[in-house]
Amino acid sequence: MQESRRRNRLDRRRVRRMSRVEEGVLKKLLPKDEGSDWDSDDVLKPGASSDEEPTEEEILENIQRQKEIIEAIRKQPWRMKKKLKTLKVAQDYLEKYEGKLSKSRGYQEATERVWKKIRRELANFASFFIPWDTRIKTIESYFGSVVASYFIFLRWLFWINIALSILMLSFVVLPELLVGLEYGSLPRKAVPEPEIKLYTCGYLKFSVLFYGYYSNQKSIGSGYQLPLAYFLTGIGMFVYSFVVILRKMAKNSRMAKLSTEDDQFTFCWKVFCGWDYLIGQSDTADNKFAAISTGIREAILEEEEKNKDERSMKEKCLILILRILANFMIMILLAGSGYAIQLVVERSEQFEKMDQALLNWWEQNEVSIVVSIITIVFPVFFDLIGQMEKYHPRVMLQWQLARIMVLNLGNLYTLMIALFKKVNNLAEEARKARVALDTLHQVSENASWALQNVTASGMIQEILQLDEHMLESTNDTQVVDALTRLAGIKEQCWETIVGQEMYKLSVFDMIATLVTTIIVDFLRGLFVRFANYCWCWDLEAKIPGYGEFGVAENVLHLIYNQGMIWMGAFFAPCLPVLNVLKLIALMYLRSWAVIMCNTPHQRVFRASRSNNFYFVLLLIMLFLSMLPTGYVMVSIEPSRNCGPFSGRRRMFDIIPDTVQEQFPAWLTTVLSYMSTAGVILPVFMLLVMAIYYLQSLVRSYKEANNDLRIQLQYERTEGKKKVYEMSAAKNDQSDGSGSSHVRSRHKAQVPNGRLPPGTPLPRFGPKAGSRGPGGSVGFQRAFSPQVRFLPVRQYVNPYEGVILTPHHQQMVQSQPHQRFRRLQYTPQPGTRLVAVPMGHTAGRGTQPHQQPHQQPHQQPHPQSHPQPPPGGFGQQRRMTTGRLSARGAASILVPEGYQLVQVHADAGDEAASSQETSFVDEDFDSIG
Amino acid sequence: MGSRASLLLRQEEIEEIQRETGFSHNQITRLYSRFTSLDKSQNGALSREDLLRIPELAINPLGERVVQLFFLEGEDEQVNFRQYMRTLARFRPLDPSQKNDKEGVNSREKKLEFAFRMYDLDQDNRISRDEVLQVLRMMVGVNISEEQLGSIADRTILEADTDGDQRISFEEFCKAMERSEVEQKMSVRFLD
Repeated sequence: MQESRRRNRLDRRRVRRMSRVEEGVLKKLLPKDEGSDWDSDDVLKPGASSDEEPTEEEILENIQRQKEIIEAIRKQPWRMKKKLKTLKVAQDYLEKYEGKLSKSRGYQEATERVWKKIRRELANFASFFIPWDTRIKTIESYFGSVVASYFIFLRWLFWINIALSILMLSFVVLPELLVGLEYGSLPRKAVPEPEIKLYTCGYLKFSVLFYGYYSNQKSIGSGYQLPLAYFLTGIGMFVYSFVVILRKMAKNSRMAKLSTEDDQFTFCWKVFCGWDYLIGQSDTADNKFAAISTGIREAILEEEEKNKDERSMKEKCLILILRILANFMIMILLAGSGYAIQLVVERSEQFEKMDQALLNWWEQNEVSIVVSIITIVFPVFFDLIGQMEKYHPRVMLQWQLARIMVLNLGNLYTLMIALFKKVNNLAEEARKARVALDTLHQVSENASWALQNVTASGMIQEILQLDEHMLESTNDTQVVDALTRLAGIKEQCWETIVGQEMYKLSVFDMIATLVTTIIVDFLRGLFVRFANYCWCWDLEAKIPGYGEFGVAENVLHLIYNQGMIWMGAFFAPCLPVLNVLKLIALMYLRSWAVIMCNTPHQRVFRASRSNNFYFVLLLIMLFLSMLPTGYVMVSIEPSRNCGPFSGRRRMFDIIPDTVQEQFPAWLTTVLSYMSTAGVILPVFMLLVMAIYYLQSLVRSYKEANNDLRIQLQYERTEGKKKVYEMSAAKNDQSDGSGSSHVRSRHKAQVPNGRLPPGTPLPRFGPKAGSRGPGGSVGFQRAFSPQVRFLPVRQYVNPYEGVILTPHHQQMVQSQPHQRFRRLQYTPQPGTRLVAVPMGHTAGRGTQPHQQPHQQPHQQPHPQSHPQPPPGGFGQQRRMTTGRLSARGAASILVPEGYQLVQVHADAGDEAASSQETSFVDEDFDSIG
Repeated sequence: MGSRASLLLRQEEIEEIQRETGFSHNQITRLYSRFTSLDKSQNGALSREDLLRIPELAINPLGERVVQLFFLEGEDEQVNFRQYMRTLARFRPLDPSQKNDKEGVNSREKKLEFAFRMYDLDQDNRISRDEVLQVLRMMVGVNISEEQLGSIADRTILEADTDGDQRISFEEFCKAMERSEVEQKMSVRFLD
């Protein structure tokens, strides 16, 4: 509802903006100047200038033009008469000529209409296919927009993962499956003896699921370069994710750009146009009913939070202390979790060194289990601690999100570090083995060389025999060691191990979620529901109660999960597919749990749709999960016996190699130039400059945007003020001047639905307890003294006063009781002179009813002017000093009781400006 | 059913209704058959109970108020077809072309007026706090405490009230609804 309303508002604004454009169109269309008496017939002239019967083309053009005019005329700042006249001409033309068009044109239009209709129907149809839409809508209406935002985020991630899966499947997995070497054709593609007994696990480990299975053949099938494709897809996955997230964020902030923070007439709209009369289904009606209640509760909460701003100093201190304490505790918890994971990882390293067969299930999976437990249990603590901070729930949610994010990142990173340690160990072993192998080669080469010297017709067999003999004779333990290790390394493909670890984490995470959902939500719900009949306290209302849906931990769970996918997808190309399945399962599991077992939050608050917080977190996650993969690509040596990059020094080498081999030589040269510091540094500088420039551009746009928003706001309030002015005028007529005090109190309110700051609002929640349920206490309309609104009266120039001119001297003389001072005055440029009553400060803070012009009857001589001027001596006026200064000093008569005040020329306002011109004409020269 | 209905409805009557309400010929015959099927007592007029059998109204928390407005046209406790059509015409969707048409029976103003009368229970052309409260009770039921409802009613009045009489007049109501999408929500799709 909120959404659509906002969109509606946006549309209106867009229309308003459009209208300006259309104005331009109209001006172009209308040849004559707007100021001159405009002859509407001109509109028809340009097309029909050729006197003869206009061609069809021209008619079409003209009709189009007339239609545009009709469209745009509404927004023109013209007199009604003129508008009507133009409109009539245009409509007449349409009526007259539209029928003349040939049939084909008519058919064309009809087709257009039908096409439009079909498109709309299709859009309706498509919305039918948005997965889980009704499910999410139902949840939103019962649990509020925040809970729904989780599911919408989940759905969005689901689409992303589908895209990633398609990317991976189509470029990496399927080619390998379809045209790659068959299973068992290479050692890396077959399950080795010792692992065959592990069945599924063993088979899966040596399948397309993992990095190790892919062969390093340069091309498979009819020239598909799998290693290159593997590398590029790995990079493309990250690029795609970045682009998608950034685009989504940009879209969101575009939404936020035009929506003002505080809605006008929130409650009016909620109350008076809450119901949608199109609803004809009882299910939908139930949802709508719930949605209205939820919406109202959200609005109440917003109001409550706004009211909280007025806290006393003591309360503020207390809250500050509490917040510091909370952060302290959370730091401890975070440190604890980091330590625990570190410990477990170290233990697992020890287990690694032992024989795998001896380890039990717990020892094998210790790391994943501990990590899962931490990610599930700690958010509960965070939630408890977060409650004592007393933030607005939305702010609280963000803090909570940030904290859990740190926790998850810590976990993920500890894990990564542990894995890399493992990888490094393996790489180290591999390096040692290679050194040993090299020595072996050298030795054997030397031997064969020696042999060749002895017998030229030496056979290979002999060489080998000698070789063996040598090995035995030298009894070189180093060589033997190397050989055995070589055999051992074959199975150790560290990339596969990393991928396996990621799979394991992901699956365990799912299981943990399932288990906790069942225990924490379902079983608890069952227990509370049914044990309540025979319990000594109210289980439903008190402890334990039904579960609530924790938005923060669930959203972060998603983000964390996605981070794992990003990290692992390079090593296990099918991981996104698994994740898609997982997300579908999560969607059903969570939505079931929410509807079935959870109760709505005590405090339902509104999620801001344009909120980018989830996406910022996701972006951070993406960046961080990209780092390890990038590191692996450019600075770790891939395993020698498995994977598409085996045999290369670095995975990244595939790019320069490909360029060198398959592209013309000049490209290599160009690229090698481009990778020198001489090019990269300037490019880098350029980028930095571009970023800086764009940044400052953004800032200026933001400012302009803000200004426009303020202006819009201002215009809206001004419009309202005018309406209000009118009603005030009506009031003035209806009741006498005696109640002016009462009136001015009402007037102080600007009737735009937005309440002025500082207005005491009706309080919601427990603090309003002093009031009876009947609401007998009337609403207080008092305003705090610091806040002063400009009542309507002050539209009149606050500096108004009296200045006498020679023309009034007669009038002056007819008032013998009034005495005057004659002053010589040399005007300063940029200022003007006014006379104000003594003791009357020329400020805006004056009470409206104290201003002299409101008591015209106390002054005797209003007759010379249609409007009784203040003081009764003449027009309220100002002197245009530009004119005065040209003529030097002037002498001015000032009535007694008045003083001259020099004010800045721009301090006035519209009310007085109309009289200014007439005053300028008056001649001062005769004075003095 | 449809043919029978059109038989009962004279051509000139249809045309007159068409002029008055802007419904198409088909819509009128269709609505007439609906009318007759709702009319359980077969006396050519609908009672309150008959009207509340319309599912859209039955599920509408404010349905009773809407039904009430069917009876405002005539003083009777029964609604004949003309009155029925006249009220339904208020809910006819607004064509984009007639957006600025102020006079049409389904114009924005008329829709607002209808809504206003719906909330103005005692028909004094002012919506008072109690009336807001009653509407709220109908709309949210028991989900929100009475006290909070009171505060909302206060806020609602405060937002819309410009002349300080603690009640909402029709002008104030229109002003408040100015930029809302009430005309879209107060439209029912009638089949052709």
